[in-house]
Amino acid sequence: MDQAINIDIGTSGIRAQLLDLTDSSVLRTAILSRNPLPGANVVDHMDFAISYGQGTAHEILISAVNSLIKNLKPENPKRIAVCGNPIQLSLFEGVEIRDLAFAGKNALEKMHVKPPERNGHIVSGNEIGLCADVDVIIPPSIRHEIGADALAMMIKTGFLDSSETCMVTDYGTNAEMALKVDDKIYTGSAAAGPAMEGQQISKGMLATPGAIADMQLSAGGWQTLALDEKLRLVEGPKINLREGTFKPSGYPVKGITGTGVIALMYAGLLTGIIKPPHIEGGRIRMEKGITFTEEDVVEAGKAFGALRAGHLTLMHEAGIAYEDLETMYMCGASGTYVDPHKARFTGIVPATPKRIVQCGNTSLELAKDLAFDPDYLTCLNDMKKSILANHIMFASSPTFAAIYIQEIAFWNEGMPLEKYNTNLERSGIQPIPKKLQENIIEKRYERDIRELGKSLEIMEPKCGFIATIRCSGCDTCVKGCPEEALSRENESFRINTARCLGTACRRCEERCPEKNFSISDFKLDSKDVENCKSNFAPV
Amino acid sequence: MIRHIDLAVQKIFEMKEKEPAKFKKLIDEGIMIGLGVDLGDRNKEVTTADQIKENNRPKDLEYAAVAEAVIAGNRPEATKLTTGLLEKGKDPTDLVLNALMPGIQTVCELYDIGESYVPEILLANEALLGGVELCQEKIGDIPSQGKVVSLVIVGDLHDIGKNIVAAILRANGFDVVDLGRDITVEAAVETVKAEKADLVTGTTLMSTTKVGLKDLAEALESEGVPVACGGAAVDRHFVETFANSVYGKTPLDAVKIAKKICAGKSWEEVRKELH
Repeated sequence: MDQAINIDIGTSGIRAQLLDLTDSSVLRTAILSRNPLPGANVVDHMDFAISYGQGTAHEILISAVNSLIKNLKPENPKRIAVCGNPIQLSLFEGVEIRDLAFAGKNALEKMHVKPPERNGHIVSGNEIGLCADVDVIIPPSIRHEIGADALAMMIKTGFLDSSETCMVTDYGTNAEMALKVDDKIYTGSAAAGPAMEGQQISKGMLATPGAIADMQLSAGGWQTLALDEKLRLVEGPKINLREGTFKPSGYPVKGITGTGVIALMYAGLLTGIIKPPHIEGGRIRMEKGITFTEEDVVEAGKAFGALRAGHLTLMHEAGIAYEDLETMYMCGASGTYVDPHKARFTGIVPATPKRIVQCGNTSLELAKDLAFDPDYLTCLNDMKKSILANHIMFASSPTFAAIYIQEIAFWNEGMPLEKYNTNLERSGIQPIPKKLQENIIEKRYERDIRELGKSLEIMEPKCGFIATIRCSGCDTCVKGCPEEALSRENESFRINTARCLGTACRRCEERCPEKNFSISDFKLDSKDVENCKSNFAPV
Repeated sequence: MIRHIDLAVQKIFEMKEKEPAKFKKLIDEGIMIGLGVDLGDRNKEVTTADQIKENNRPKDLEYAAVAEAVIAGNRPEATKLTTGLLEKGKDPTDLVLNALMPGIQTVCELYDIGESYVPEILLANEALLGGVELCQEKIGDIPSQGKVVSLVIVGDLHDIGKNIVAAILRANGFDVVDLGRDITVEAAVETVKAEKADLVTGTTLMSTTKVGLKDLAEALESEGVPVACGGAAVDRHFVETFANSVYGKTPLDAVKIAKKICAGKSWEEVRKELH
C-alpha cells in the first residue's frame, strides 16, 4: 500500500494525516496541540529563530514534525506535502526568514537581506532533517506577504473561481484575508493574535477534546457545547451569566477555544454582562477553575478588532460598500465551528454578505491535494504568476490605522459604536452596519478537518531545551514562569519549548537574583530529538 | 461669642444674596457632612465633563472658539480661526498657550475621567497641530516644557501607539519632534543632536525589532538623553536590561517620564520612582 503524508504547519498547532494513495483516502490524523517553537505568535517565533539561531528553530520544528510522522505509523510513504504561512514553511525548510521579520525596509537594507523566491518546489526529506527520506513538496507563496496558506484558502473555498464580490478569511492567529472584486484580489494579513485559536486567553486551548466551543441560550442559562474525543459538539456545563454561577454537568471541560470565546463574548455583550473592557462582577465562571477574566475581554477584543478593521480596510481600498458583499468564506478551525450569527454580532464577519460558507481547514486540504498529485505544484506555480493580487500591508496602511484606533477605543475604553462610526465618517470611511442582514449559511463540513480517517491522536510537543546551571536553587525562575514551561532537577534545567513564550517573556532570565540564568546556555535535548524520529525504513 | 455668631450669620446672608450658587453648595456640603459623607472623595467624583470644559475654557470668546475647534478635532476650523486671529495681530505665543493648548488639555482631562477616547485625542492633536504650525511660522520656537523626539524604531511600521504618545505629550506642553516610523539609530541620534532634545520616546510592536531600542538607548548615553521605551513587544524587564532608559506602559506614563526628565532628573532616578 503506497502512502503519503499531508501536513499543515500552523502558528498555534500542527496537523498531519496519513493518506492511502491507492484509494485516495485518509488513514489517520494526528494533531500537535501547540506549535513547538517558543513564542505565542509568528513574530515571536521569528525573533526566537533570529536570536538563538535559525538552525535551532528549524531543528525544534523538524523534531515536532518527526514526532507527528512517527505517531502516524507510516508503512510505505512516497512523499510528504506541507502547507502553512511563509514564516512557518521557511522555518520548516530552513531558509532565510529575515525578509519576513521586519515590517520596515530600513532594517533589511542595513542587513543586506536578499528575499528568497519562495516558488513551489520539492526538497528531499533527509536534506531538511526529516526521518523519512522522501520528496517533500513545498507550495509557493504568491508574493512575499501572501503565503501558501492564503493560496489554499482562495483555492479550496471556491473564492478564486467565483465571479461574485466575495471575501475569504482564514481565522487563525494570523488571519489571512482576501477580497475579490471582478478579477482583482485585495489581500491582507491581520495579526488577530492567538485569542482566535483559544490561546492567550487565561483558560484558552486549541479546538481539541474538552474545549468549550459554543454556547446556546436554554432554559436556566447558557448551555455550553464542548468538543468530545471525536471533535463533535456535546453538552457541557450550564452557565448562568446574571447570577455568575454554573452547573457542572455533561462532558467534562478543560478550557475554552476560540469559537467558545466568540460565543461567550456574544452572550456577554447581548446580556450586557460584558461591557468592554469590563465584566459585571469582574469575571465569568464556566466550571470549577475555569473563568473568563476582564483581561480576556481585552485580548478577545484585540482579535475581533483586528479582523473587523482588516475587512473594512480591504473594502475601502477596493472601493466597495458593505452591501456589495455577496459571499463570505470562513476557513480554519474557528471559521468552521463558530456560529456565523455570533461571528457577525461580534464583528469578525461583516454583517452584510448574503451567503456565508464555512469551509474547514483549507491549508491541510491543499497539502492533501499535493500529496495525492505532486504535479499540481506546477499548476500552483503558474497560478502564482497569474493572480492579480494587491496586498495591503496593514502595519503601514493609514486606512487600517484610522479604523483600528476606533477598535482600541471600542474594546479597551468602552467607546460607543455611534462615536466609532462618526469618527470613521470624518475620515471618509464607511460606517459599520448596525443591522445584520438576512443571509444563507452553508456549512460544508462537520469538522474543520474534512476527513479524520480511522483515528485521531492529539499530542503535546515534547521538545526540551536543557542546560546545567550551578546556582543556589532558589527556583525564582521556575516559579516566575507564567506558562509552567520551566522545571529544575538539581542543576539540570529544562524548558518545554512549546509552552515557553520565548523572547517576548524571558522572565526566567530577567528575574534570576544571582544573574546566573541565561537562555543562550540552553541546548536542544538530543534525546528528545532522537525520540521523535520513527524507526521505519523508507522505501 | 454672640457677636461672632452675629457676624457669621451676617456673612452667610450676604453670601446668600451675592453668590447664591456658592451658598447652596456650602449648605449641601454641610448636610452631606452631617450625613457622614466624606467630601474629599465626593469632590473628585463630581468633576463632570461640563466642569472640565468650563475650567479650561478661555475667557476671551475668540480664544474659546479656537479651543472648541481643537476639542471637536476640527482641523480646518482651528486653522481658519488661528489664521484670522494672527491677521488681527494677536500674539502667536499667547494664541498657542491660551487658545490652542486649553483645547487639547480639555480633551486629555476628559479622557482621564472616561468621557473621551483615544481617537478623539488624535483628532484634537491634528487640529492643535494645524494651529500651532501657523503660530510657529510667526515666532519660531514656542516656550515649552521640554523637547521630545518621538519615533518607531527601525524595522517596524506600527505607529498608532507613537501617535498617541506624541499627541498626549503635546497636550501637556512638550515640543514634540515626530520622526515617524522605521527610524534608524543613526537618524535618531542626528535629530537628537540637531534639536537638542531632552528625551526620546521609542516604541515598537514587534519582538523582532525591540532590540533597536536598546541600541538607541546605548547610542544616546554619551549625549545624556534617555529613551522612554514602550509598545506591545516591550516590557519593564526588557527595558531594565539596558541603561539610559525608562519603561512606560501607557501614554500617560510618557508624560510622567517627560516631566521628570525635563525637570532635570536622571534616568536612574526616574526609573526608581516609576518602575
